[in-house]
Amino acid sequence: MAQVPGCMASPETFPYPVRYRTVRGAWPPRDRAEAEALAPLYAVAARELVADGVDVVSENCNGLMVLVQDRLAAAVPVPVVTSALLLAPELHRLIPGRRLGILAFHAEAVTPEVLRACRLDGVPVAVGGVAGSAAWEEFLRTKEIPGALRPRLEADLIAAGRRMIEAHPDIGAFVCECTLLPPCSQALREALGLPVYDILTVLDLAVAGRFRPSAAAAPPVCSP
Amino acid sequence: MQRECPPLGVLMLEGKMSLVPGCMASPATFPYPVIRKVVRGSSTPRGPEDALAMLPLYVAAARELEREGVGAITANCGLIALLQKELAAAVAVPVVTSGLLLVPALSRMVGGRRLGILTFFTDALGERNYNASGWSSAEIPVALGGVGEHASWNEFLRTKEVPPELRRQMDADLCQVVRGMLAEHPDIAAFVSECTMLPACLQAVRDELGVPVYDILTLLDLAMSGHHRPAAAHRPAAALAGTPA
Repeated sequence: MAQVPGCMASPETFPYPVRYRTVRGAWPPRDRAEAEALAPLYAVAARELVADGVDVVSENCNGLMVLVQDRLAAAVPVPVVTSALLLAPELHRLIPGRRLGILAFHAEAVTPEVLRACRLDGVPVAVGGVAGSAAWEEFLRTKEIPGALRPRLEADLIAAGRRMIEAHPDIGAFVCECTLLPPCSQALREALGLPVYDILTVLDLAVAGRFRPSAAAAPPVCSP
Repeated sequence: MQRECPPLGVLMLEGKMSLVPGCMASPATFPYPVIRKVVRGSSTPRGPEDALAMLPLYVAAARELEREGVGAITANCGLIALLQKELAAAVAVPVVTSGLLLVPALSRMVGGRRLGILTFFTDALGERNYNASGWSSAEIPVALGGVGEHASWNEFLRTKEVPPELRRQMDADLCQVVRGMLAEHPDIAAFVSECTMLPACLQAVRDELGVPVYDILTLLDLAMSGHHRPAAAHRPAAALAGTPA
C-alpha cells in the first residue's frame, strides 16, 4: 500500500491516532458478488478494530465495498465509512443548484449501481477519471511518488478536473471517490478554485464526532 | 503557489449574540478566517413563518458574502435552516444552515441505528425542520431531546454568557439530557445537535459519555476542508499517540 502522505496507509495523513488491520484473504472486489463475499471478512476485522478501541472504521479501497456499507456499519457499534461518496447527497444539498463532479481512477468503475448505493439517483453528477494518464498508471503500479512524478500527477488530475468543468460548467464541487487521489487533492483545490472533498475530509468529519473542542485548538491553517 | 484559504461567511441576526467559544459569533470557534455579516432588518424569528419572511434579506446578504470571496456560508439561527434549499440555490458556494443536514449520511455510517437529535426547545423542532434538511423521521429513526427545561441553559439563552459556575451546570445538565435519551433509547448510535448554542458544551458530552456527537461546527469544518485539507495533516502534539501496526 502507498505510504505517500494523503494515502490511507501513511501515518502522516491523519491528525489523529490510527490503527491498521489487514483483512486476511481479501482482494479488490470486481463486482457486487465479490464485495458481498468479502463482507464477512471485513466485518471480523472491523470488530477486532473496535475491540482495539477505535472510534471510526474505514477501509483503503473505496471502490465496490460501498455496496456493503450497510452490512459493515451494522456489524460494529461505531461509525463506518467505506467511501467518500456516502456524503455526496449531503454535499449536493449544500450546492443544490450545481452539479457534483466525481473523480475516480477508472471513471467506469463508478457504475449506476455504485451511484444508487450512494443514494445519488436523481442528483446531477459528472464522472471523470485519471486512467490513461501515464503518471497515474505509474503511481498505481509503484505506489510511490518520487519528486519528478508529483508534478505530472498533479497536472494530469487538474487536467481531468478541467475537462469535466468544460463539459459541465455547472460543477460546484468535486468528490474524489478513489483513495489514491488525496495526495493531490490540495493541488486540485488550488488550481480549480472549487471545493474538493475526499475520503480524508469525510474521515476528519467522522472522527470529529468524538473530538471537536468549542474553541478550535488547531492554529489557523491559512492566513486571513 | 499557495492559494489563500477563503473565509467562512456567517449570516448573523441583528441583536446581541453569544461570544462564547463554540458559538458562531466567537472568533475562537473556527480554525479558519471568518467574515460575519449582520443581516440588516432581520430579527430573531419566533417561528417558521418569521424565518420564511426573511428569505429575501438572507439571499441578498449571502450574495454579498459570495462577492466578498467566502468559501462557504452559514447562519447563526437554527430556524434559518428552513431556508436551506432556497438560500443554497441562490449562491454558488456551499451553504450549511444546520447540523441536521448530516443526518442521512450519518444514519448510513451507523448502519441505520437510531440517531439522537439534540436541540434547545423540543417543541420547536419537528418534521418540517427535518424535511428542510433533506430527510424524514419516517425513514430515519431518531429520538429528540432538549435542554429547554434546565435553568442553566435558559440563563445562557437570556444572558448569552457562560461564567465558569454556569458552565459546570450547563455541562452537567446537557449530559443528563443525553443520558436520559440513551436510557430510553439504548440503540442510539450517535447524536446530532441542531441548536447552535449547544456546541459550547458538546465536548463535555463526548468526553463524559463516549458517544459521537456531530453539530454545525463539525459540518462547517467539513465544508471548509473542501478548500483546504493538506495530504499531510497538521498534527497537534496531543495526537501523536497513534502507531501503525
